[in-house]
Amino acid sequence: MENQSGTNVLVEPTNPRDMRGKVKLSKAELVNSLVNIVGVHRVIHEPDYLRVYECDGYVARNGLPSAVVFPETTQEVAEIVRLLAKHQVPFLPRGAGTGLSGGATPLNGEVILNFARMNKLISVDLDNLRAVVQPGYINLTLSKEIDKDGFFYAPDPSSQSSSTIGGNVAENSGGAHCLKYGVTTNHVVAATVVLPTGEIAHIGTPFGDAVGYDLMGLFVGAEGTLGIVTEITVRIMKKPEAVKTVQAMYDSIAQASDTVSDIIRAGILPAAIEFMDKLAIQAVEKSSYHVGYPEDIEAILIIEVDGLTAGLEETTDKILDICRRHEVRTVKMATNANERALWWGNRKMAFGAMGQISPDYLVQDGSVPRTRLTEALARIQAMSRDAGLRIANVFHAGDGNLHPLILYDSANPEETERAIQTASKILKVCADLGGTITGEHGVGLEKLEEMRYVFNKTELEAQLALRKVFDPQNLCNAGKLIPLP
Amino acid sequence: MQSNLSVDLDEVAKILSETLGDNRVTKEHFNGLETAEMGDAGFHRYDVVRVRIETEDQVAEVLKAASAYQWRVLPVGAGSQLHATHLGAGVDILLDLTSLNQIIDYSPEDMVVSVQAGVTLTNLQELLSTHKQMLPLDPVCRPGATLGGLIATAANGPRRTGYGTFRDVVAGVRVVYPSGDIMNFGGRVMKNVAGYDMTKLFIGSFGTLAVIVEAHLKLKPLPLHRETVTMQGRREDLKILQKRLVHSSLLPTRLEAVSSRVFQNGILSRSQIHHPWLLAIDCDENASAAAYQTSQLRTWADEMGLSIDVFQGVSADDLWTHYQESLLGFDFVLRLNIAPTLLWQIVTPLEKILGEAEGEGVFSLGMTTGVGRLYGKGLSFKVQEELVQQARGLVSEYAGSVVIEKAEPWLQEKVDVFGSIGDFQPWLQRIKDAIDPQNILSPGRFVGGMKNA
Repeated sequence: MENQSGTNVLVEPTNPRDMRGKVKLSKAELVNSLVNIVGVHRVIHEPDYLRVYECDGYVARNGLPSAVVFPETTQEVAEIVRLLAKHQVPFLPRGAGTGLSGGATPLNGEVILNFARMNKLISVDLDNLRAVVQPGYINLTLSKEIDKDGFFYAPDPSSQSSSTIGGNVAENSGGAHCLKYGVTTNHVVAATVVLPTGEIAHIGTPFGDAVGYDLMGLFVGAEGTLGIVTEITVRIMKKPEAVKTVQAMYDSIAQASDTVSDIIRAGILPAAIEFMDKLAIQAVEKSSYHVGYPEDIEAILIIEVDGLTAGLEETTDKILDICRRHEVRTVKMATNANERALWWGNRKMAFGAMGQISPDYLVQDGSVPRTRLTEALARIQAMSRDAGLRIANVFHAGDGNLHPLILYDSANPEETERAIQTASKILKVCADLGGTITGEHGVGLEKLEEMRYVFNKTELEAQLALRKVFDPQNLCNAGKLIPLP
Repeated sequence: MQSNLSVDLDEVAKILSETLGDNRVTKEHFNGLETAEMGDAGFHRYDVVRVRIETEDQVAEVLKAASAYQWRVLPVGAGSQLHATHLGAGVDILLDLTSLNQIIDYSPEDMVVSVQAGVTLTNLQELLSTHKQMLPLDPVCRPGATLGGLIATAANGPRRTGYGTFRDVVAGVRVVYPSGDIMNFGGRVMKNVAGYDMTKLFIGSFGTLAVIVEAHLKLKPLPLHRETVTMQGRREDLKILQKRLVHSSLLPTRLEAVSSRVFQNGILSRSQIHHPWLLAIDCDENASAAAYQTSQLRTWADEMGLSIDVFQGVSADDLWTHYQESLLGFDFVLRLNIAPTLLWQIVTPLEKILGEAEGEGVFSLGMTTGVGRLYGKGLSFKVQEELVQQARGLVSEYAGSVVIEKAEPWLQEKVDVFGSIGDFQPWLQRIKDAIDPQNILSPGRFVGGMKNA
């Protein structure tokens, strides 16, 4: 994870802030105090080791933390946070660091609370459809753990083999199958949290409706700015009896996206509808997950339905019929689990495969109403031409969540700037089409300015006022998610 | 609990008439409830000014004036949820939103509808059904209940088993803050992580934070085939059936254990009722899948000696309409939140109390949601109080909670509506203070800490 490009300028860790005449800790005192809480082996403070934590999956900006500490219990987290709050040292939580918008990047010399050691499955209650996990527990591990009993955890971000459920809570992660099953907020029901003041609270309720304002709903997607979750209760589901996957290839992007609208109009609710355009297909075909797609097709849809075996054929017949009405070149169903796995592997590899055709890429995740997809794609294509940059599209078409991948070369500063500008313009288009700037990757550092496309000054102030309720000293992942008006 | 003596209602009416026009402002008696169905007898009757709103700008005007003059405002729709919590310190203004009732935007292909707060659930469902869609929620409520009121009280019903609650279907809201600022949070898209999920705050806030003037709602396809199976048996058998269902691949969208007599007279005849409890199991999948589900349930019924009845299409609709109408007639409702497998354990002692009391009590228990409701009728206040205390004592061991969803103010004054609140209570008060610093919105209407200053 060491920064290999060498082009990024590291920000020196700022000294813990000295405000309102409070006692200022030296770096050595800070480290000593942390060591007193968790022991010497669970604190990292040497600059060489800290570099690993200079950014998350969003690499455009970075900074060095003051220290990284590895708590093992809620009590330790609370003790650490109380210490930091007392001395006004900024801090932030970090899971696997797979976030795509800079939510875990320390720009204020934060102390990072790393949840790698709080990675346990605490309990599973199949009869009541709940599991309790620590925040560092990996998303996919949960589904694997309960698979033998026929259950699964529904939110499935593409990062699910490495991202943590704590991180998913912070980002309100989505995934390919959230069209039918919903995103993280629909599956997290309760949590133990350490608030930025170091106090511990239990929010949400494992069953039914929590009493009081929906703090659990507020915390999911708050990007770790309102507090730190230390224990999470999630809803688990019974695996569908059967799954069928359809692959449809098109000579026209418009026909592919109209197919999506028609499927929904027909009253069918697929588990997932994924879209890849020509450039994306070319990239993944060069990767190890190549399916053998023809080079000249304009778009591919992967449509998945699940449920009871008895009713699925009727549904897939309808889908095949709709595809054919939209001049599909070929459409077929996966004949076995291996074929389905290949198609999905190919799709989920798409971001990584961009390396096959471009030195660098920027990914955005604007979201638009489904009916505006065709228009959004046409405008993205026009922007691609205007900017002279190739843009590949891989996205969750069923819920209108775009993932334009803007290809550029970071060795060329002018081109880099052009790519960043184009990304921002795409988000403006999404906002103008009645959508939003981020469907699932989060605002983080990356989209702070773009927040103004969707919120006015009063609405931003209202959100900052809420943040202040929980973090009066502005220490907990400060500067992320909401721009200053 | 009386009108605020420092507020001259004639003066309030005069000021608001000047801003909004005479025809929108009237003075009236208010008993804290709008429903005639509840016992009234002049309980806490006092004068209020009713303002009939037609635009969101008028909402802003009223709130600005209220902030300036320290008037207390209660946003109301049809008033069908007013019995959910009592009004604490009373109010000066009823902000009547029933005329703010336009469907702003409906895009069937996006499966999203934007409605104003005063649109009724009944009217909305009617419109949606012409496009073979629905809002997949079925709270027990009067036909005139508005979306604004239902969202503000987070009302929910048996369909939460398969579709969730308002927190799962409200994609965004347009609200007016006590300051008069109109704000948008969330939107019309399926996925949205821009900023805090402020929408969640207003759902179930009982009108204490801001006035919801518009909501964007995610829709579902109207099931073309509806099939409901009821299975009756001994309680022990139903518990086994509950477990079998949870571990099966069947797809119930409603899965309720209901007192059989809820369906007596209208759905099941007396001779068709063999046990006090039945499981009602819905399937919203297509006909082939529903047929499979029903055949599986039949197999289990045969194995376990349970009696089974199958309702399809219109007769399935009738069953649930009957459920709604029958339960609406009860004047005392307790909601239990606890692990589904523990629901039975809580219910048994409550049944004992009911068995020894005058009046009637029936149950509906969500077998996967853990939300159970006790519906009472003709029970004395003493029995009601005993039921609440008993239930709270029982759930406290399991981190459950018991909320009074419907009762006369008498009980709500004596027994806390929400019960014990967790260690997060200080933050609830701080959120209230941050958004409504002058406490003008629905004062005293919410959880313990929200008392009027």
